[in-house]
Amino acid sequence: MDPEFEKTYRSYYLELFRIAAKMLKATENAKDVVQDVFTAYYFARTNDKVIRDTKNWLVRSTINKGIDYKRKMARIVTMESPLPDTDENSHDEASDILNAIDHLSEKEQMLIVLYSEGYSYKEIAEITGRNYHSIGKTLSRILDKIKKHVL
Amino acid sequence: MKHLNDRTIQSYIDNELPESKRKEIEFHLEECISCKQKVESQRAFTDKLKKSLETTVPNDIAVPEFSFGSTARYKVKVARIAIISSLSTACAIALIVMAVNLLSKPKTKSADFIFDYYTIEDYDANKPFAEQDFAEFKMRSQSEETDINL
Repeated sequence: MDPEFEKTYRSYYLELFRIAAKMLKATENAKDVVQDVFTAYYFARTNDKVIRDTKNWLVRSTINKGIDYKRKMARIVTMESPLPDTDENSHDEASDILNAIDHLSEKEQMLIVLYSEGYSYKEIAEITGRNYHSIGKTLSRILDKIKKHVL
Repeated sequence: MKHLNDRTIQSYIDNELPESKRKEIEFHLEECISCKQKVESQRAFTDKLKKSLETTVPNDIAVPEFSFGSTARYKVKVARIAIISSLSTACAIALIVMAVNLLSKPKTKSADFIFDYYTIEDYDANKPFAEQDFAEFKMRSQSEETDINL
């Protein structure tokens, strides 16, 4: 394995893993997604594809693959068990909030995950391709939605 | 100064405002209790949200060795490629066999015999096959042709 790749892998693994784990809420799946991302990165490098900003590229592809994985899992869950195991009885705040996040759209979830990871508005704008000036407004709107769902 | 809107509050909490704007807001918060409360509750909720999401991440995660295709999806892909390639090989083999069959097939004489007859009356089906005089008919048709050419 070439040392530059190894270095990138070591320095970004945890960061990407955290994003994937927050999106999928399952450790094993998150590991799979991150391995997929680095596999894609490895081949993009060996095929001389242009990667302008390594970090943005990796984060973006983690989000894309995470969404992809989520959709696939959703299909499997609906086929295997018509009622997904949402714990209606447990009413602690954390699970309420997580449940509320699950009800958001994919784009909104992605924004919240990046925000919770401490990315600045500028970074979020770059990764998601949104307008920098609209991030604050969008975030407050999404937080409002979650608040309403929790209450 | 007017009351703060949600967007400004959010940006203020996230430290995303320029210094001048920030000072302006802090000045306003000194004297406006309702805005101050809003800021506090929004900040508390944001913290709660971050903490809730934090519960989905395990604390003790080590960086594993990098490996290609450890995932189930990759295996599915490999299986799919195997099926497709074996099917296409089978198709190619079948095509080759058919082509070889077509090329190596000897031309059947019977077809020539039938088309050599000029009219149906020339063919006498009562005679056994060996006794039928094809050569004679052929010669006649050839002479006819030469007649026309001359």
